[in-house]
Amino acid sequence: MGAPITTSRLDPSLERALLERAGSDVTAFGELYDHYLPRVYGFALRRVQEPSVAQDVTATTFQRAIEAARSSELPNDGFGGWLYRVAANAVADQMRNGQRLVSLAMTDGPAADAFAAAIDRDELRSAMAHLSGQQREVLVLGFYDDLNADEAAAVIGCSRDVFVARLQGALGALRDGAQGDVTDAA
Amino acid sequence: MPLDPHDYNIALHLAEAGARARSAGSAVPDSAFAAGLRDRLLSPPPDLTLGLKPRSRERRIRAAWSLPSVFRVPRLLPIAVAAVLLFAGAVAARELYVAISEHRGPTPGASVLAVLPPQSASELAFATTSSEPTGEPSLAPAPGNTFEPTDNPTPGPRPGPTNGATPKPTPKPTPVATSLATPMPTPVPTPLATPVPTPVPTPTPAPTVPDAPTGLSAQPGSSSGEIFLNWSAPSSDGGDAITDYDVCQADQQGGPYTCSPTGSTATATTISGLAPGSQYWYRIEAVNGVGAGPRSNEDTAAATP
Repeated sequence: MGAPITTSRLDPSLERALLERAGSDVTAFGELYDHYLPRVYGFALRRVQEPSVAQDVTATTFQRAIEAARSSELPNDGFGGWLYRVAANAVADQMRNGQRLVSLAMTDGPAADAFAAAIDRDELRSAMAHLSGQQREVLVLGFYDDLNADEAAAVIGCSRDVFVARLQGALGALRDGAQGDVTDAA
Repeated sequence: MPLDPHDYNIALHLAEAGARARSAGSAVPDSAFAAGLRDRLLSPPPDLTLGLKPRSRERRIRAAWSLPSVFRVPRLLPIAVAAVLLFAGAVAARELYVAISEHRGPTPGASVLAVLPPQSASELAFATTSSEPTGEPSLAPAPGNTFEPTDNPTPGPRPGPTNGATPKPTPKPTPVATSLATPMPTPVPTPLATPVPTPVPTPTPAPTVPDAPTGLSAQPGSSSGEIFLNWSAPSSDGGDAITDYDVCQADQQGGPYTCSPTGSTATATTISGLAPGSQYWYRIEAVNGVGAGPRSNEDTAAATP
């Protein structure tokens, strides 16, 4: 069990302290920006695929964040989830503006495809294709975007518990599908 | 999070695949973009910004604004654009004049025509296209509502341009009776005439205090202990009629002066009850609805012995 499942995150108490000062202290907001910029950009790029569009989404997201900070409307907890949710909405806006045809389940698109392609166990990869869009969505948010349960739940708009239950359900479905695939192959 | 043991290896495998895919794709933002956005976000906000953004496929205008942080109250917004302008104008500028025009054409849009600096601090006038109605009842002043009553007569029947028509007590209504069209002997009513643009209210200068009275002359009065003063009204009443004069009296040159109203707009008065033979100094202030203006020249006289 060597591989870390999560990468380093801001210490929650540090993040809370930064959030309290973010509206009036530019260095505090700058720290939050530096930490979340690559994450938000990557989140956007995995979905829109074009760097220029991902930049637009990122700029929109952080612009909303600074405006919210200045008017003291940022949440004290769960800033990451708030940010990813804003980014997800900005991605959806971009899709609508560009009039691209995307499925309503946002992550059931380029991101899910790229994630599935990265899975090197064949039976798991093919089993991904048989999951529902909602199941793929939670797997992409949890393992490809590397969001924690709170952040992913904020993006989907459900509670943390619901997200965890869906994730477990999706893993179970993936296991069943993979076993079925193995059985079929055998 | 607790996982079914059978699923743990799958989860681990997915996490590794995700990490691999994340690092394979160049998900690092361009450094110039990152630095530029950082600078833009962290630069101090302008004192007052007003941005207008046309909504796609709608003729409505969405206005966004931000105020200096000292004026900002969380969750006070949204209120009507006009109310914000009134607030900002009253607090920050005492006068704010904003004109917004809507482009009509292939690409609907809008632009702020002008945001003028304070000029005479008299009137908040604006012509704006408001955004969607909000629940806020009426923070916004009615168009044309100004701090000072203007003398604009309500649009009524104009005195007809002299084309020889004799005034009748009960004018017979004609199809063109209410039109503002140029008088023509045989006017052809143009039902779809281009609408006369609503005149943008021109700010009237605010009344100020009157100028100083001039030509003050003090002389001994006709009776003992009296001094007679006369002066000339100031050249300007400041835009509001003079209601009173203050007589300021001192017992040495240069003051200190003690002022008391005459209670009249007459430009002469007699001061009585003074010590006979003593010398007094005088200056006069003109007073209107705004207040007392600067003092006149100084003159002196000895009370009648």
